[in-house]
Amino acid sequence: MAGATDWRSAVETLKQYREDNVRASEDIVELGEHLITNYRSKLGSEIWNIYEQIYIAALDCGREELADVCIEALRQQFPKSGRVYKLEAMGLEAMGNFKEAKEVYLKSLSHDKTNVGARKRLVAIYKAVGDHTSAIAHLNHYLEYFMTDQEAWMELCELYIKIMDYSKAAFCMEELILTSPYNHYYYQRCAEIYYTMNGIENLESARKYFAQSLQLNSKNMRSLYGFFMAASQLLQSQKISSKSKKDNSRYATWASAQIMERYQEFKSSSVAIENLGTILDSLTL
Amino acid sequence: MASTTKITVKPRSYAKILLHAAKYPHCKVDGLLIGKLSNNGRDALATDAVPLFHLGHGLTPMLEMALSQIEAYAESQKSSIVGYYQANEQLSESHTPDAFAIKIADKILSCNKFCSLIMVDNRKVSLSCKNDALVCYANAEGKWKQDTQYSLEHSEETLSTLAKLMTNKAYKNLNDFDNHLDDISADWTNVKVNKLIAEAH
Repeated sequence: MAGATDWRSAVETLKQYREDNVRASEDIVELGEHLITNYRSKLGSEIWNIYEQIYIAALDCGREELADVCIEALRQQFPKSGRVYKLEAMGLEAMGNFKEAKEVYLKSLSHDKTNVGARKRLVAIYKAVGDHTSAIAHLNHYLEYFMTDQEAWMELCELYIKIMDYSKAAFCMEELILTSPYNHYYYQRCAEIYYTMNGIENLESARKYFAQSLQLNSKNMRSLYGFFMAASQLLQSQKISSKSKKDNSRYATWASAQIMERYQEFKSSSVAIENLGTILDSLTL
Repeated sequence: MASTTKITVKPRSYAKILLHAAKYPHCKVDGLLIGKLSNNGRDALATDAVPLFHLGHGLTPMLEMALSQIEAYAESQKSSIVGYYQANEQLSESHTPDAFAIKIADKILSCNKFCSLIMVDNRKVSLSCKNDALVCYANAEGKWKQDTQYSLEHSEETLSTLAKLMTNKAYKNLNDFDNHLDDISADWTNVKVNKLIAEAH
């Protein structure tokens, strides 16, 4: 694997993972371990971010010794750092010592109420032990002060879905859409929630949100399928007007054709795809 | 219906369930089991598994679409959907079916003569694959109770095959329906992984 240019692309990859906040722990451990073992001197000041990143990934993969190497380096470089204390507490979490970890976070918060990292870790602990109610309460409290934190709204939405409070989950997505009206994923997720809630109005909302998502990103397959499903479901209802039936029939037919077109681009002979046309037709009946 | 159906899980199904869980260790994963009923519904054989999702659980549109497609696929293989599997995120109590698992299994049962609800006991999941990590539930009078009639075919061989696959990170090649929705060239029937499983046997 070694090579003079290899280390540069490894650094680039790790940077991309940090920027996109991707949890690719296995990859990070593999790339990172190689970097800090063989190319430490070449990493410059980026090495501290890399140590932090590898530490978290190592905890994820159960690589205790690797995690120890990283945290030791960070401790030496940044003694008495709040950020390092948080990482050490995450190490406790990884061992299942939630009680001790919680104490560290609560202590940090008593010194600094704006310690976002500590607050979020508390929510993570509640999630890990299955206490969704507390996780939700904490997140709601957090969002009162940090209402533009998109990651927090997404997390809250997921928690509401877990406890099947779909209308609150939809509310979270609506908040996200307000702050980011060009994000196709937010519309898609919102639509999926409305679809799940069922009922004519909700299905119509779902269809509209799926359509909006598609306008922003025509490649969003989930939104295309979702648009088709919503229109088909509405078609099957007895309670809609004949104009609405006509419209939804048009929408379903259009979506069905779009779906088939996407799959035909692959000229795949997979049995699964051969059946698709029949399935789509049967769902619109 | 037949709460006395005896379900046997074949190696390919077992491998795919655990590989799915291994690919996304930090997520809840779920999927369907395909197979055949025989002996007047007294025996069920889960010959294959189709991994469904690792994201966006609890919402219905993609699940409904996936169910239709997989039902049709099963029929084309002269089989039917015989079960649903789920591996939860947490370590403890991971093998207890939650409300979602029950809802989905109930739905499958209402459209098929039989459905087995299989949960993964995360504490028994390891790279060495020493133990059968599945816990099986059967429906009796509307309630899902642990199924004592479940068996894993050729369990020793199946587990050692899986250990080989885990070491070779075969799970990186596994596609679930979420992967397919992200990129429709991803094959959710997993022809490639089926081959890897057969070769590792």
